[in-house]
Amino acid sequence: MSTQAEQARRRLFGDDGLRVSNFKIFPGTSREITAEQISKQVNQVVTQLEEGDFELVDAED
Amino acid sequence: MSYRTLFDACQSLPLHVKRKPVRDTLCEITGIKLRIVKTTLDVRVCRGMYLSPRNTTHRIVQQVGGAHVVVMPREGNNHCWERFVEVKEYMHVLDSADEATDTGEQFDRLLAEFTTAGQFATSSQMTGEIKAFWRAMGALCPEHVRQELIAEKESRGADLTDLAIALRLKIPEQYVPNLFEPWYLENQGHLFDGRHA
Repeated sequence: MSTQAEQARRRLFGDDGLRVSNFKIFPGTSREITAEQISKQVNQVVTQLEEGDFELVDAED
Repeated sequence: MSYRTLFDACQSLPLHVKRKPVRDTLCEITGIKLRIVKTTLDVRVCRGMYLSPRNTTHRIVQQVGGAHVVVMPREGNNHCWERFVEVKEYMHVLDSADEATDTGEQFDRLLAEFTTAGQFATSSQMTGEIKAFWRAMGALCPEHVRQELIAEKESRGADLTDLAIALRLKIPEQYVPNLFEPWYLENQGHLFDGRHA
C-alpha cells in the first residue's frame, strides 16, 4: 500500500494527476505535524475537488 | 507583473484592506484567475493551500476553468486568520518558476522544511513561501498606515496593544510585531528589486 505522500505526489504531479505548476501550503495550528498528515490533507482536498464537495467563495472583506 | 504594482495599488485602499481589491489587482497584473474554495481541510494540519492545476483533461481543471485554486478550511480560521491566509495564498501567483513546487521531489522537500526543525538550507520553494508571507503583510498594511502606527506606538507606548492593531488591520495578532521589525522595509525592498519582483 502506498503512503499518503506517494499518493499526493502522484495526484499532484503525475501524468494522470493534476500536473500542478505550483503547490504551496500555510501550516496549521499544531506544531507536531508530519509530512504524512499534510499529504493526507492534500489527498482529501483533491478527492473533494474531484467530487464537487466544496463551496466556491468570493469573499469581499 | 510585479509585487511593486500591487504594493502601490494597496497604498490608496481604505482600512481594513479588503481581499477583493487585492485579488483583483493580482489577477489584473498576472492575467491569472483565482478561485477560492472551502473544503474540510483540517486547520490543525493546514490553514490553507494553493495549487495551480494544468492537466486540461482533469475534471478539476474543467470545473475551475483553468484558474489557480486557493483551498481554505470551512472551519477553524477566525476572520483575521482567514483573511491573512487567503491573501498569502493569493501571492503565489507571483512565485517565480524557480520558486514553484512542480515536482514530487520539491514537494517532499517543502513538507520536510515545514515539519522538521533545523534545516541547513532553505529551498527556493520555501523562499517562495516566505516571500508570500511578506507580500501579504505589505498588502494588508499599507506603508503609510504602518508609519502612522509606528508614530502612534511611540506616543502611546503599551496603551496601543498588538490586539488593537490586529483588529484595526484585521490580521492575526501574532503577526503584528513583524510590522515593527527594524528590517521590515528591507524585506519589502527585497521583494521590489528585479530578482524578486
